[in-house]
Amino acid sequence: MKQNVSFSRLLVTYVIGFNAALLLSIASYLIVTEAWLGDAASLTMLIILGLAVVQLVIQLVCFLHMGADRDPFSRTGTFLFTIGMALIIVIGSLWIMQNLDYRMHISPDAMQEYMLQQNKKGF
Amino acid sequence: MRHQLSASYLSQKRTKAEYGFWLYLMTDLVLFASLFATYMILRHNTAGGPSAAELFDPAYALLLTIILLCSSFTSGVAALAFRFNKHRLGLGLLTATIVLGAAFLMLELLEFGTLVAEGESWRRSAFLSGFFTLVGTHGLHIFIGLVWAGAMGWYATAHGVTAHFQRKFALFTYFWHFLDLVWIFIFTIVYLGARLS
Repeated sequence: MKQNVSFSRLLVTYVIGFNAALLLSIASYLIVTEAWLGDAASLTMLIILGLAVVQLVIQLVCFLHMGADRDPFSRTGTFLFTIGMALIIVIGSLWIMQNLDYRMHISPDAMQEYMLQQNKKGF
Repeated sequence: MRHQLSASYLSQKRTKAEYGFWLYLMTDLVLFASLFATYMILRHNTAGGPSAAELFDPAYALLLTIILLCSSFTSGVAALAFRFNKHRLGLGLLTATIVLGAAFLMLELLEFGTLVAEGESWRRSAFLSGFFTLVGTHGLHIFIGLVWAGAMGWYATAHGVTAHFQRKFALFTYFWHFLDLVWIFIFTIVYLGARLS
């Protein structure tokens, strides 16, 4: 722990992080509620997700002091690895389920009929 | 010499404890990732019930977001205050953190209560099951964080602000900041995303 840094100097980091996070949250809110991008739902979603990621990075740096610690106890490496895992889980699940939905695109009645037929065949 | 040894021992213990706790938070991140995936897949499966756009109010979610952000900020500055031996300021900020966190949890439970009273509980549709699981798990973490914060406050008043207290408090702030990070994505995907589908 460094002792040569002053309280007020460290406090500035927190205040900057707080204000940036607040502005980004309000910006996302206004983009959606005021419909600044019109009807472009996917584009809007992409932009507010981008703003959320920017806020994530700001909070990691300003509040959690990521990247400030020394090896071998580096939190950044494990964090990046876990983010990779999280993205695989989320994007992979969405991809698979969307594909399944596309391939099984039959009406509920037809599906019911199909299931009954299969059931008659036994296991 | 002995004093030096114990200081280096404490600092090493601190680093190891922080790293270990960080690894726990990473496993929690994977838990939340799977709950987000579940919610995103099921969010259109309303089984004839109300959709996300009909149920969620973005203004209410923004209020919750700001409350939790303030709470996260006060907990971080409290850790800083304890580190620079400003104990009264630290305890004041810890109290503020608990009050803001409790307000957040109360508002969230109020929303859950309203939904259940209207018959839109987790039993209504797959979408609502996903919603209650994701947001409920976050709320449960907040509740545990509040109990932890209360215990820290009790420890500080009973034993004073020791080096051990500072080490433990650093872990609490990690947990609390982490919960705010998860909430940013709940706010964006669940509450703002409701308006975009």
